Amino acid sequence: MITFSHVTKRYPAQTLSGETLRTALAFRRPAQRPPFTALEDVSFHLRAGESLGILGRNGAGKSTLLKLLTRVTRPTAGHIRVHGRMSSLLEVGAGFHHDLSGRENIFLAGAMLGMSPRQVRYRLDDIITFAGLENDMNLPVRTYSSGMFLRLAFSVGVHLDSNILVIDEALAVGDQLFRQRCMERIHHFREQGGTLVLVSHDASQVAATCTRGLVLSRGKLQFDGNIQDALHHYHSQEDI
Amino acid sequence: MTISRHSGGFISTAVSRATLAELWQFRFLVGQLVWRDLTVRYRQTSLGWLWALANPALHLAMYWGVFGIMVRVSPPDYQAPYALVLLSGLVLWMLFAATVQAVSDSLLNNLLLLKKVWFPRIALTLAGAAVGMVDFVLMLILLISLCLLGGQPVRLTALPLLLLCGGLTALTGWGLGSLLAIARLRFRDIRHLFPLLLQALFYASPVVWTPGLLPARWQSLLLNPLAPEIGLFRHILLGGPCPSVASLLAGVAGALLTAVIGYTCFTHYESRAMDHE
Repeated sequence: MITFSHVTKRYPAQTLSGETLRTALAFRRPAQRPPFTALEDVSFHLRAGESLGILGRNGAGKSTLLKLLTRVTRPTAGHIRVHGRMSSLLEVGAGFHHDLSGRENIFLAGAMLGMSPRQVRYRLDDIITFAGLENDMNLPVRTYSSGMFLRLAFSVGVHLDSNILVIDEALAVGDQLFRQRCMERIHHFREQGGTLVLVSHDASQVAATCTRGLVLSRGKLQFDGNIQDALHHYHSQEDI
Repeated sequence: MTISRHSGGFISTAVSRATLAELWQFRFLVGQLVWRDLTVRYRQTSLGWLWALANPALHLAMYWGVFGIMVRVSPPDYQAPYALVLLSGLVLWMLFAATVQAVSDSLLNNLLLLKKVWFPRIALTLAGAAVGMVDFVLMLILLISLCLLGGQPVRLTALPLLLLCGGLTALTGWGLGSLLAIARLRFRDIRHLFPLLLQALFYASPVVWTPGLLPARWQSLLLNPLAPEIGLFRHILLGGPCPSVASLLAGVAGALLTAVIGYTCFTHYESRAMDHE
């Protein structure tokens, strides 16, 4: 269950030279970029088992919404309530260390998602098989191709014992075969009653995976409802 | 084995922060981060893990060369050779300096990660402090071997107290480092000021000197938060004067206070400081 209640996210004013002691102590305020409101008064409620697609153009606030949902940033006003264990995909790779082997990175990334070494070991074979990297597990990750890297990251995230899955444009990862395996995995996850939040520019993908859609524009919630209507709204907005 | 624990969840508002219960849930992350830092440090070197011993040994030898041979001081309050008095102070100082450095670097060095994945941020600072503790234990082993070689008997029962001195020093360093980690995100100037302040604190601490060498009007230097720890450490290892009970209590209180202030400020400002990035 996910509840956003009157959530606003404002980023503080920025100075060009960054924050320094001199600007902090100076009497005259330096030229600033004004505070930037990324999301304004967004409210929605997602029940367990629903799947939500978030639509919007660049700069509409999609990434900010995901960052708030995954707790990476906190709202400036309002509150977010999440019930259940969340796993966000793709960003897992951010925790990889390039000098560690694939296997070692699985344990590190798992720990970043709150898993114990025992839980990771329990899933290890599944993770490796899903990523299709059986022969490369003892090589340092820096020798991986970008596709292999993303596949491994994705595989760790998808195997976490979670009931909320957050995906950000992630399904463009890897070759056709891997993408198909991901879609199967997501359907399996949905059948088990998992909650899904997906951000994608690919309308057909959103239509195929989600039942509900949110349309964001300039930080405001424009539309919330059935995914077909949301897509229609999104496309008509694009024409303007 | 069942690992289904779907009781997770959170409420995020402008003032919410990671709780200690959440830190406990992420305790394995601290272990993994320590292990990562140590492995990455020694992998791809030809000496490998030997560096873990060689590096502090060379460090101690260098300081001993400068202060033990070139700058000869004979402290009136210790019977033991000056070299050992110096090195025992240095081991604690290096623990403190390394802890402050590692902890204060922990946010800046992981910016990319912090913008993508949530976990209790304090785990990063704890991992930094734990790496310093591992180095300290290795240096302690070196120091005790030197004491034994130098004809200075060390009782095995002294070990827990020596580790306690290290623990208190690391706690002080962790608290200070956590404060600096936030300050360094907010004010990049700190990077330039920090080495200077650390150097000043080095000379203000009884590392190369001892309280017995201090002129009467400079006694206020002993209010230094590291002075009681270093005094006790030397007393256990080399004999000589034991710091007064009052100063020991002040040392413990100072370490705890620094840690509490550091932790509170860190959890309070961590998210806001990240918004400026």
